[in-house]
Amino acid sequence: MLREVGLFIIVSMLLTTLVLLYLPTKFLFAQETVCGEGFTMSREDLGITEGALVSRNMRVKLLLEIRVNGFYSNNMSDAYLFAIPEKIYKGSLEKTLPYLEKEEVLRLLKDNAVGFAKVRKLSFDRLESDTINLVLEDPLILLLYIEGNTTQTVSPPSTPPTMPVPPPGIHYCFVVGTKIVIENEQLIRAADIAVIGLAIFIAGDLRSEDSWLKKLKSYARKIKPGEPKQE
Amino acid sequence: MRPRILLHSSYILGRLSKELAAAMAGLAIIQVIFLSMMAPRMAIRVTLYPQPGYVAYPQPPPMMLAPVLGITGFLYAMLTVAMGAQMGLELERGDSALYLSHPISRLSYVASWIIASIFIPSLMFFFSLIIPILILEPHLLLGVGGGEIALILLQVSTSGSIVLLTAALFKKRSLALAVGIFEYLMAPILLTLIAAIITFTTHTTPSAGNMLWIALLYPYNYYMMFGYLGANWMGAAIVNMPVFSMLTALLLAYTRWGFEVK
Repeated sequence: MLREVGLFIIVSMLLTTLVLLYLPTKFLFAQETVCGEGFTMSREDLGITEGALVSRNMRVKLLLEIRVNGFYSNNMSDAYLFAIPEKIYKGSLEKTLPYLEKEEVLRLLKDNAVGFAKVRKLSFDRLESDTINLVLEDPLILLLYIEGNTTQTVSPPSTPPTMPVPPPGIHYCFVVGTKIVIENEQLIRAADIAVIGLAIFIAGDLRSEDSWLKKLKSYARKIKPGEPKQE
Repeated sequence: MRPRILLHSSYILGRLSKELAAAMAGLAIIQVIFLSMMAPRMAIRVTLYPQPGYVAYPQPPPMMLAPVLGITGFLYAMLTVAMGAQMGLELERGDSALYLSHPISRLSYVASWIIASIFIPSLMFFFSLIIPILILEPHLLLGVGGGEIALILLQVSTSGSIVLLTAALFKKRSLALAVGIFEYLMAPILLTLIAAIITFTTHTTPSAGNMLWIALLYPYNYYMMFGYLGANWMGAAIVNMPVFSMLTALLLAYTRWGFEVK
């Protein structure tokens, strides 16, 4: 019985390793989306939304693709999506940003971000950013930075639009794509499991009456290399 | 010297090893493909950044393994039911008389079937689930899906014990197989219908506590269906375990005192 269990562990480990080596790198990419509305900080020259918090559940190497899309009815002169480590943002930036000039806010955000991307305004008040590619190390906060007067809200157009327009203000969705990278750590763990499975298999096989290993040994004794086969 | 129960279990497994190995390898590959597809989603958590005055509403427990267990749990259950029904075939054909003519007691004979048809498939199913998780990230085992794995093992083991009891009582493979399939596939649907009719006629909103009776035989289904109402996996397991133990004890007691072979 131990032999069957050991054999199953080895087979299961081999299948797992093959699938994990091949699939996650080739095809698999999960996407998580969180949506919200409104500014955390709005002034006459800029506005910031503290949109999403990205943290890890697994200690594996994770490649992220982050972007934002949404709607904003006011005019904007410039906009960026920032990914900033939560520790840095909560430690100092969060408190100091409201008291800084526009240029200083932007410089500080760019200096502390692990990644940032330009956000463009498209037709029908749509917002869309480029993609930030990064390796997730520490928990991240995703911020949307918009230059322009964010204290006023423009009322929706009186003529019926060709597509539904959301209520005035900002509406955003952060999209986070994740890819797992299999590293040596995982392969070492697979090897550990293989050793355990092999030990169980050998222990079980040697104890069983029809031992496969003993049969193999006696078969190897019968057929020695270079010796002609007997009729 | 090895106990006779283990010897006979090994013998049963040896006879069914090809089918068992093929089924389990199939299960393992389905599980690992599904798990690796879900792994990126399980790997990160993306939430709205909490603002001042933000109220976090209670969320239902994340049932991470539900898509995997939905498919492989069914295959595992069918395998357990089919293996349990094999005992009925032995009793029907009279092969069991041959085995029992050897120095093996009736109790050991049935106990070895419990090991071969419930314990070993459960162990292999458990391994096929935890090996990918262990390779990817052992930490995940503590947080994600532990309750789900325990409940599906309990649910299928309960079905397995019902099949063995039917096989021992009626000594018919086809009947044991039919009872197993009915118990695992049809009865949950009927019970859900009954629950729906009761709640409709009494104009009450079901709560997780009111529906705990479903967990007597189907702890995993109960957890899946009423998780959004706050169903607790531990509660479902505690309700099911006495039923599983009682069925197994009943099987062993019947074997000890009322079991006869042709």
